[in-house]
Amino acid sequence: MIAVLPFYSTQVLEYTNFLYWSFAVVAAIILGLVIFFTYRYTTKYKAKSPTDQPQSGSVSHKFEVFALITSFLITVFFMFFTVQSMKEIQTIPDDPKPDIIITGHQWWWEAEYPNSKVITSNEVHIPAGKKVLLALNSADVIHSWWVPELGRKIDMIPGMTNYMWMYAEKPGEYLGTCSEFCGMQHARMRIRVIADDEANFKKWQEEQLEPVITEGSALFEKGRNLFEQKTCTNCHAINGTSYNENIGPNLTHFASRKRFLGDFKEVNATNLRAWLHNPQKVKEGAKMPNFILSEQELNALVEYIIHLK
Amino acid sequence: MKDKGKLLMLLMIGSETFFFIALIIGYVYYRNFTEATDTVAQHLDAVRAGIFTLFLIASSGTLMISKRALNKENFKGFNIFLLLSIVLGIVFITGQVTEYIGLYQEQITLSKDVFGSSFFTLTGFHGFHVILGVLALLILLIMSLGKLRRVSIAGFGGVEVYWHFVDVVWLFVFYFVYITPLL
Amino acid sequence: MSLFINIQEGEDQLPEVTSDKGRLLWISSVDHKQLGIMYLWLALFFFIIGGLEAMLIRAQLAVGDNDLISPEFYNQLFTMHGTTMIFLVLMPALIGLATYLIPLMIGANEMAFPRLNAFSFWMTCLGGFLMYFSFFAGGAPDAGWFNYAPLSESNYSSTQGVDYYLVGLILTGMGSIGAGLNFVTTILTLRSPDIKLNMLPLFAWMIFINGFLILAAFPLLNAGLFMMLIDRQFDAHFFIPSSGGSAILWQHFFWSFGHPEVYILALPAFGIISEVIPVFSRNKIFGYKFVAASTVAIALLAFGVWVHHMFAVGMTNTVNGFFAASSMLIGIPTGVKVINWIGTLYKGSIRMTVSMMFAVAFLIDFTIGGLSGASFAIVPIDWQLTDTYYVVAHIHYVFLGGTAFGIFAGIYYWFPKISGRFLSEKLGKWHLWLFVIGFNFTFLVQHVLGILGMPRRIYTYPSRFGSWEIFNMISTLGAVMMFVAIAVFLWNLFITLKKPRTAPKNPWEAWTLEWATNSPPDLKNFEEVPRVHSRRPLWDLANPDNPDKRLN
Repeated sequence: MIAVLPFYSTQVLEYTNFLYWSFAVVAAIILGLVIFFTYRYTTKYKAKSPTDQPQSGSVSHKFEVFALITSFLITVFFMFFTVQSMKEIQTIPDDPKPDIIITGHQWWWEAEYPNSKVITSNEVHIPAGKKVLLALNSADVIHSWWVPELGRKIDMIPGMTNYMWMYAEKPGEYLGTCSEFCGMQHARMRIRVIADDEANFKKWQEEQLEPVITEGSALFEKGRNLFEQKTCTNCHAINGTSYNENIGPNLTHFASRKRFLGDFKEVNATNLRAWLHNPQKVKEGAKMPNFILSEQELNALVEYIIHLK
Repeated sequence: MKDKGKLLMLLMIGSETFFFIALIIGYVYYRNFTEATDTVAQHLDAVRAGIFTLFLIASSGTLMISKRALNKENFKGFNIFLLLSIVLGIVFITGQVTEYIGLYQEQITLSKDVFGSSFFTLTGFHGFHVILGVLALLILLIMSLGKLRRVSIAGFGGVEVYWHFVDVVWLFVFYFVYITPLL
Repeated sequence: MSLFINIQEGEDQLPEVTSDKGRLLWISSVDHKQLGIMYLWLALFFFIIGGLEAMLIRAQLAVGDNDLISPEFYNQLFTMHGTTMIFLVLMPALIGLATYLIPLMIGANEMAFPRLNAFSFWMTCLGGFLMYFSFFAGGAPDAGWFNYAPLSESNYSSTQGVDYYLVGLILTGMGSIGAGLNFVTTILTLRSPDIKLNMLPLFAWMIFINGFLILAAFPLLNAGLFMMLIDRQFDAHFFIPSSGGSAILWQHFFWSFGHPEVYILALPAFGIISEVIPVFSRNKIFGYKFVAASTVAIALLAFGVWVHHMFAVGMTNTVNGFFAASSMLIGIPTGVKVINWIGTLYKGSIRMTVSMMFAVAFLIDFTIGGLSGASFAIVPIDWQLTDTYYVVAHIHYVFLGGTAFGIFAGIYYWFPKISGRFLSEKLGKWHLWLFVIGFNFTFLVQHVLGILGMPRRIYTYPSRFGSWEIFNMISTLGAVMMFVAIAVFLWNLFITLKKPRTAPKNPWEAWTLEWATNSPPDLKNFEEVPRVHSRRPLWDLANPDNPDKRLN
């Protein structure tokens, strides 16, 4: 599904819609007048011969004052509704208790649910039909959180926490993107928000809280050992083990996600293999090093990671 | 205004004012609008800096006296007070340099933290302007020891305005860097 | 009563120009006309380079998931494209026109400080070439023309590119400050004694106000640039949040310069339009006082609106509301100007030269840019559309549809004065139509792309977003049209400069003093300056029985 809706249809964004439309109407009228008079005057008063002299123009102070007053009234109108809707969209409690803490990294998203202690990355699940308070910050440079259909855009600034409300009326998948230039792979730092109904959201949280899968085929076991030997654990956390470094995405339930690398590639064995084989070829500039893995090692690691449901 | 040299200098110091305002705002921002505490202030000796401030103010005074002498065509008095202004300016710079050395010995450096960065950048740029001013005054002195021509009289107007400006900037720097932490 | 007066020149009016022959003389020149021409050549040179960068950008974005250009190089390209077009094309072009024309318009033979004038030019030139040298020194700057920290700090941008950006902009900034100082002092001290400030041609008036804007805005940028340079070179911490610095502070410095900069680039173009439209409409400007006064209003308000570039950083509603109000207000004086230009057309006798057609295109396209700009003042709309292609469209409607169209109008208008030759009107019309149509093709659809959710500064986008692909392809095709248009323009320049000089003193029957000189003016502009009693001295001379109302 491609969430590229121009018109924001949810309750939170009603005000934005109203402002959008009223501005569009006013702008269209002004532009229409400018085009009309420019066109009319340049055709009507076009010189008939190169030596033609004008019929004499004049200055009208009354007209200038009229224009000034009109434009001032338009300004007052928009100012009033701007202030109103700012309050509506961005009123944060004094002691905010965020439902989700989202941290921007070059070039992926980390999402932490303080109430349930779930930690995930890139794909953010929210309950539908409920206003969700987000706390946003950054681990490195400035990023910006923007899911057009679900709320405003707000920057994620290192050393600073911002809050915003997000609201999805209906269950579904909503796409967004990082909107502040954040380095080489800014383009491939897209967002996927999945709004679930109450039951599914609860189920998803429970699944995420389950301990990591430890049993599997021999290849799986080999992959798990390689995961340690190849120092993957220096950056990637796996819940329920002693590996809790948080430099790269948490991989405990990696295979439960649809896409990875900032919503860039689908999660499947082929893509994962290509990524592990040469990260820089898949997503140039990514922080993941190339471990120069042999074929067997690749097979084992893919087998391990792809089973981390 | 028909004295274009002085006009140019007035406009330029107007422009420079914005530069120093930006640097001072930076300093105040870190101290008052972030959670960090000023780590440099406690190592600063406001009394010592105050004494050197007096030297700089005095140099503005002596420059005004030398201007009066120039208007009366008293070239000897002009030279003496101009020289005095230069010496006072150099004393101020010496004070700043020794202060820097002292701070570096206490491990307060440009790269220590934001306050180190702000302190040395702000006072450094001011010091740089003082040095430029001293050079300009020196040039005037050398010219006047030769033969004071019309051009250098016009030049004097500009340099004088500049020197007072550098002085006033320092008063603000002194207030925000040395005095406000004590309040 | 004599119709002419001699210019009184003091003996200390240093330095003197003795000859306009020889090539080395250009390098050592302090003549405002030669420096003005060199500014224009510099602007043209970088315009071609910046344009080629834009073509590469459009080629990369024509289709989704394109890998024509690596992300690293793409980021350098758009950074250099923005920086080049703003600091090395529009600034020098406008300053160049002003350097050439201001003394002529006010009946002076030189700028107030000719050597400062040369210094300003060479600083701009040095800064520009230094910035481009970065391509050979390990990589161009890659953190955007706005250079946000901490992305631009050494931890995240490890090549020397950003250092070249910083030093280059400090140098061009000093050059601009020098030019600003010179404009203000020249207009205040060297006007022909008849000319009172309320009789200045509007172009000169706007350059005068612009001088103050430059003097106040550039030091703010320079302070920020120096601080970042100290961060990068001496390990300071100004803008590095991880060691106590503030990423937001850089944004405040940058935009408290950056927004006035928008007006620094717009006001001179307004000035050009205010000269071109009356002359080719054969009408006095409609509401001189309103146009002049609104310029002052814009200049004052320009310093109180910068936070509208930062509505998304998460400041309080009070702060955002204040800057929303000021940003909406600044639209009013700008709108007043548009109304007055259209009023000037009313009951005129309009001569549709290429210059005039560019001015008319300016009226419409600049209005679009102004309106899309006003929409950012409405904070909730900004919260959706900031940092999307809607902004890209907006900035190009202002800088290209506004300033650049203004510059082209000015070039076609003053070319006979500057070179003594007429640019071909026929080729000019090709240039105009291709450029204006191509321009609107390229950027009109980018508004839609922004509303559809395409963020700016991305080197590619998923090809599964079909609508994005269609609009981007249209945009790229429009860019190709503009490319062809510029080729036509260059060809026009090339053939015109080989023709003999045929232009008379005042080919357009214009009314301001520069048209009282020869085309091109002699090395000493005026032996005698006509007496000036109104805003249209040459009209008074040509129509002694029907002069304008006397103002002095």
